[in-house]
Amino acid sequence: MRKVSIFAGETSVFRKLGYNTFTNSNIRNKNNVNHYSNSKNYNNYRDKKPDKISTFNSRKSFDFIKNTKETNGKIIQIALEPTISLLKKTGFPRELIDAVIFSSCSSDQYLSSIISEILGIKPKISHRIDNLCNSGTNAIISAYSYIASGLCDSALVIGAELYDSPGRVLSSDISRGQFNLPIYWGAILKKMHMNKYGTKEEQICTIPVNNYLKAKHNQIAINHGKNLTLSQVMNSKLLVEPLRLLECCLICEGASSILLIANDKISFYKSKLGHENLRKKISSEDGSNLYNFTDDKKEKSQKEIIPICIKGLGQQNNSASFGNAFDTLFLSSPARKAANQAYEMAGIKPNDIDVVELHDAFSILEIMAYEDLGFVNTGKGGRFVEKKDPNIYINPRGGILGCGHPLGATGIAQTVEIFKQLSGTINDKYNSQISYNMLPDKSSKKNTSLHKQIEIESHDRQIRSDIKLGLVHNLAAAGTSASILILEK
Amino acid sequence: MKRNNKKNRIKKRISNINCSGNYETFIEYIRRGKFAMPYCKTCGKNIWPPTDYCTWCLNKMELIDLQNENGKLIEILYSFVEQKEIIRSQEGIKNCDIIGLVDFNGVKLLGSINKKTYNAFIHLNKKNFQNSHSVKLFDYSKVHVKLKKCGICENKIFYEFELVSTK
Repeated sequence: MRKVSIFAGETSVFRKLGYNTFTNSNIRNKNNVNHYSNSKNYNNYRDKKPDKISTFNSRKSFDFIKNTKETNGKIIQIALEPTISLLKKTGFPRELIDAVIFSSCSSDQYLSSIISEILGIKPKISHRIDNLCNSGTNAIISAYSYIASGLCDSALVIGAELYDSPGRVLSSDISRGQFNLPIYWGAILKKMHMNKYGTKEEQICTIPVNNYLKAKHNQIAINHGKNLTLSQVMNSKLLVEPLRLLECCLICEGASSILLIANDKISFYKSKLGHENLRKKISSEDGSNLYNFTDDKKEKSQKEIIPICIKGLGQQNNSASFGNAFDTLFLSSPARKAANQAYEMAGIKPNDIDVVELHDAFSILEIMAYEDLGFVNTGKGGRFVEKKDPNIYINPRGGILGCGHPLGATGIAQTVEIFKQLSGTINDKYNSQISYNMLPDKSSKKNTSLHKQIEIESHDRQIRSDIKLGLVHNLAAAGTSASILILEK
Repeated sequence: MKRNNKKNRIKKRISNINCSGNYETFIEYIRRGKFAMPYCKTCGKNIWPPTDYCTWCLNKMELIDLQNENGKLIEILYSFVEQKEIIRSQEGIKNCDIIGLVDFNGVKLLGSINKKTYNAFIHLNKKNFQNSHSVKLFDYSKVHVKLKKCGICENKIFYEFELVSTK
């Protein structure tokens, strides 16, 4: 079997628009939106003429869009941002991309083909993958298998998600009745872990604090530049006892993309970098390409690119509904099985791992991940938090708690982070090169700037040169499905 | 005519959920307030989800009545998602939704717990009440649970349980 490497990766800035849908939809109805709960306001709203231009950056218009099922292909727009940045940075010739795989839970159709058309790629294989929260790593696993089997030599994997994605609630799981939001199983897991193993609340509540500390310096994180103390977490609003507001991740919109290539073709691809002249001529003659790939003449090329090898993979699915998976969640969870598969494939032990990105949609999931991945024995995850093991660098980007959770993009963003950590390119500044098409907000009355450039403050992040092995841990739907990737420098 | 319209409307609502065979009848029963448990004759087990075929032996399943069957209480949760503040008093938590995870011979359901029957249990265990989270209020193994109500409300299925002491 051929070996597969990650050639490049890029993540867009995760933006929070709207509200926290992962925990509750009712908060929104009561506090934020007046014009539907109040009939008078609703009538006023109805008398107005409909807006011809839908504005994305106001909450009011978001509701309008949601209720009229108007999508405007915004997901493609989000997905293009990191992908174009990746292609420009590396100068990878688009003719040589053999497969495009799109990962998203969105209800829009045919996304992979649409995005390949816009990017000017004619891939052999192109399809969309949807597996709720671990769509991203699933897409990477499929791309891996295409390359390993020899069907293709390179694959571009793109993940993107909007804030109102239908993937946040698994509506087919009718065993949960009206309590089908993820927060309820999160609370059950936390309560059972506390009762069963004596994990203290302070131990669990330090997890968001640790993650916010790292997200503070991460320019793509939704909680970039924010501080959080333990008492703030402990005193935040109790949503479902014992789970609190600040222990839950935020749903947001974001995108991430990654380029995989066959290990035996690394030198071939490196020699081809920056040779896009042919394509440029064609695109300028046709005028068909939406975006100009003009300024990638600049060097960029061979110098810093250090491909990172994917050494091990593992995936396991136990069931779809929470009720059926419940018995296995602590002792024989899918994550545990997937981790064993991956360790076996890579030929390593849990103690060899240097850097890890965990799926901590709720704080308790991180403690369970320590146990599942074999860093500690079952039931001792709480003490592991207090110990602060210096050998394992946990959640360098701030985890899902710090960064936000765009479902389809999460797995890819995690992998990109580990890739950047291992290749030492973590402080490469991310500048969104396309102006993000934000139409003017009518309420502001100033229609001066049609295109807002996203400005990001950047802090330098800590680089560790001693790390060699990295791990990505990605779950879906109450931990019923899990996938693990192991990367090696 | 009016009646027909009503029926059609309800049918539409049901067909929103992807359904076939047993699933459709299951939903139909739920709509009428009855819980039909999917049961496999050859395995002698309750099976979830309510589809046509058993997940163990792939033989055809049937729906049976859940009347008077007791379930085991696995966990209780207190949800303040819809409340702004938490109001506690000596008689019990006043304004929360009480949620139970209940096991009916292998089928686990998440639903709300009837407050009257819950408060009766709380009354016996007043001392533990102040630090309710992370501490079990009472021994779950001594409690039996029955399905009191089920139905469809706002396009969502709901279950309501009541606690029954065994003594």
